[in-house]
Amino acid sequence: MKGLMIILTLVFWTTITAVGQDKTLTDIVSELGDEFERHIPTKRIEAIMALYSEDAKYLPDNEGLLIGREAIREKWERDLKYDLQKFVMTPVTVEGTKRLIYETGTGESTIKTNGQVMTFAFKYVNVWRKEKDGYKLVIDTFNRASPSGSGKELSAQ
Amino acid sequence: MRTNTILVLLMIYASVGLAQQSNQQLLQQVESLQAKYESAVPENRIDDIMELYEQDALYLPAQGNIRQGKEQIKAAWMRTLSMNIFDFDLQTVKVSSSGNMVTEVGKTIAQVEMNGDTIEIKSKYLNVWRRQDDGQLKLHRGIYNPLTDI
Repeated sequence: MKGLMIILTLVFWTTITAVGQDKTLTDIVSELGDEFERHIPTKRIEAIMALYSEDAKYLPDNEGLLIGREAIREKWERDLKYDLQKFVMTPVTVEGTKRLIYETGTGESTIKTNGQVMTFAFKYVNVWRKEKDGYKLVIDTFNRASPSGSGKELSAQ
Repeated sequence: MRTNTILVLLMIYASVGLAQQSNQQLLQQVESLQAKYESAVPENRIDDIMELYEQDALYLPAQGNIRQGKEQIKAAWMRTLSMNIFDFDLQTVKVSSSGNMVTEVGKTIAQVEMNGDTIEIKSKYLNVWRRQDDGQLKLHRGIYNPLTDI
């Protein structure tokens, strides 16, 4: 009886562990998005940079094409000087494999400037790669979701 | 033992060679698709542009909402083509593949005629191509935004 209980307990814990490890791609991406949502308003630059691969490419709106962590870090350091109050990412499509995940989504960032609170809507495509220490962004790109532009872009409106 | 070592080294060398050849073929395939874009855009050949897209592709142009499906993407491109683009140049920065997906990051320079003047509009983009059953690549996801330096 005692042996049976031990076996049943082992089976139970193995099952729980297996279920916990069997995350969907959407689960993985949601957790990564949660990290961004936590770290950006609290200006945790190291935690933000830990989400990028060494060879990442970052294509932020109205900026250069940034390659590598050093260039990406400089951009984030500039952006974190703003009073970013809230940052939300909502995946629309998540696909790929456990090795490489493609995420398309929409988001909002809320900034307080000169006493006013402004919200910017954006849309994005992220490509995540599984590395030794977790999933890392290999490509991060976004643009605005509002209709108005600067007039210096190829318009689709 | 020595023969086995030589064989292993030869296999590694062959694998690296094959990978390089494969990367080269991939780049050529993507550049061939780029050439289609580059010739179709200035000539307003909307059907040739749409031929590059999958039926249920997502397109994220520099402004506005995500466009889903060929109908919405075509409408977005029609507006872009109304800008009178007379030259359209794409420069690949990086191409890589994983499974049936090919990821392309690059820059574009468009020459646009506006009120008698020529203006240069620079963008950067990410294209995710998906290999179809017939081996062709079609655009699955496309996003671009303004580039402030090149």
